[in-house]
Amino acid sequence: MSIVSLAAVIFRRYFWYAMFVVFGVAFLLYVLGGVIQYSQHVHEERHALEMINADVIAPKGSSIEHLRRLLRLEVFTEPALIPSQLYTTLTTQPPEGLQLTPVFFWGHHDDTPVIAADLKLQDILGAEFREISQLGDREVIVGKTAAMKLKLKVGDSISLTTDFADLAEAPYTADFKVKAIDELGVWNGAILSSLSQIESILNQVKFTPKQIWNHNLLSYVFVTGPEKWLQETKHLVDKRTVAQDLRLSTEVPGLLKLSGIDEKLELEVLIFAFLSSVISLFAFLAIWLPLLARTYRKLIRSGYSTHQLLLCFQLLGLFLLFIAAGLSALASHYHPLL
Amino acid sequence: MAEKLIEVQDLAFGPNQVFKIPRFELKKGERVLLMGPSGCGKTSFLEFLAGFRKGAAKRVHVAPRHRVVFQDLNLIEDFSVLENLKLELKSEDLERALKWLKRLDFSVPTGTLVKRLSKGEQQRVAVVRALAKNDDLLLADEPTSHLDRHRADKLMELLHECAHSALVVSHDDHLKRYFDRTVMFEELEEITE
Repeated sequence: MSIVSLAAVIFRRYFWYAMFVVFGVAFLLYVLGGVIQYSQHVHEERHALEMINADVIAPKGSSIEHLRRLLRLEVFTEPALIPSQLYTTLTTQPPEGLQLTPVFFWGHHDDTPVIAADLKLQDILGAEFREISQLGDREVIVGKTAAMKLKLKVGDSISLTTDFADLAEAPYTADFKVKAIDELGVWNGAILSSLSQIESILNQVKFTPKQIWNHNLLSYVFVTGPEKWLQETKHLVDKRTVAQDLRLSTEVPGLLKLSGIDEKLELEVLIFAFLSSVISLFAFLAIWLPLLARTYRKLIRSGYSTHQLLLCFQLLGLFLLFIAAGLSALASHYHPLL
Repeated sequence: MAEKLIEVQDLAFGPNQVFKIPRFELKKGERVLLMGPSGCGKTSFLEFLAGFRKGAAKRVHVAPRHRVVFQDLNLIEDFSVLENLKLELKSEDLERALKWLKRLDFSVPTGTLVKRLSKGEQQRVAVVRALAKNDDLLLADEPTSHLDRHRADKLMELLHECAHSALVVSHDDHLKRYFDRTVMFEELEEITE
């Protein structure tokens, strides 16, 4: 009997043993693939985190308190967007190495919040909201809900107050002219542009590739007050909470978690899966190998040489490995571990 | 002078080389029955001759083209009868083996797994496989131990017909008539105190 035929007979006669081993190997390869994916993913995210050097913030899921915290941060240069969870971490546990910039300004009148646009965002938002591009100094857009509640018309004057909760500074109050009343959503007490419109705006916003927020874009935009006004608010900023030119190294695990990677948990899951796959594979092999060893001895006594049988078992092993790799690839394709 | 297919001088084998055989020879065309009580070393001697057991000897010669019927039959139980035959036989030998199996009243389909066969059926497969290889020498260890008298005789007739040179180990006195000479293992051994 030729070596190939012998390998085929062994495979056929020990089909279920072989299949169990194949599944064991496939599981192991699948987990190993997951470990590699995980390592690459973490590496990329860590690298992406190192690229954050700016320019924040308008968080999804932020509360009024978050917004107040935001205002406590230094006014910097460019507006940008980050996910709310990251923002929460940034404001509660300011990491080293991140330069923070508030990108909106908000105020309220008799507890009804109102927004004004940052000049820097006007170019971006103007195409969708012509009113924003026409906003001037000390002018605001008021959402319909707010306008109805405050009985405001275009051209009316409104006194807006920005207070800073626990800050020692007194609330800041100024008069603004209502430039427009628009369909703005009301969310968490702050006035937002409607989500459907904002989605198209976000498509036009350019982000630095691979930055962390690319994966977790907020679905709405806050707009800030005019530059001059922002300058005026600077003196209200609590210098104690300003984070400037800091490094991210100590916060990487936390930030990774916010970007969807829980290093510790995922590593534990992967280790568990890896051990399970190894144990299951060894269990299957422990059942099959004694049978193969007995067959090997008998084949030797039947006149087959060690070299021939090694070749036969290598052939069989490669075939099983091929099937296992295929199964593993299919599983990874349709149901990635990460 | 007939060619010697087995020649052994001053052989020591077994655990701590406890078995010692000063001289043993088997010539071409000779059929020898080796008998002796259980545990006396017959099987070990046969395995040594077949090359599956170590020993020390002044001179050992065994015909390189020999086939063996092991006491445990050496069939792979998870393979079918046909697959077990094919493991050792070429196609022309295989036809002969199948014919001989029929002659030995073996009526089981050849696709049957060996583990489904009775010991007697397995024994017939193992012996026929060895005979069909048509080598110079047959070494057989208890080839009829699982067969009834009638089938044992049939098998021995076949062996007598096909194996011109053979060394067969057995307990069965009844088989003596199929052999040129019978050797008691004790007679071979050098008794050491």
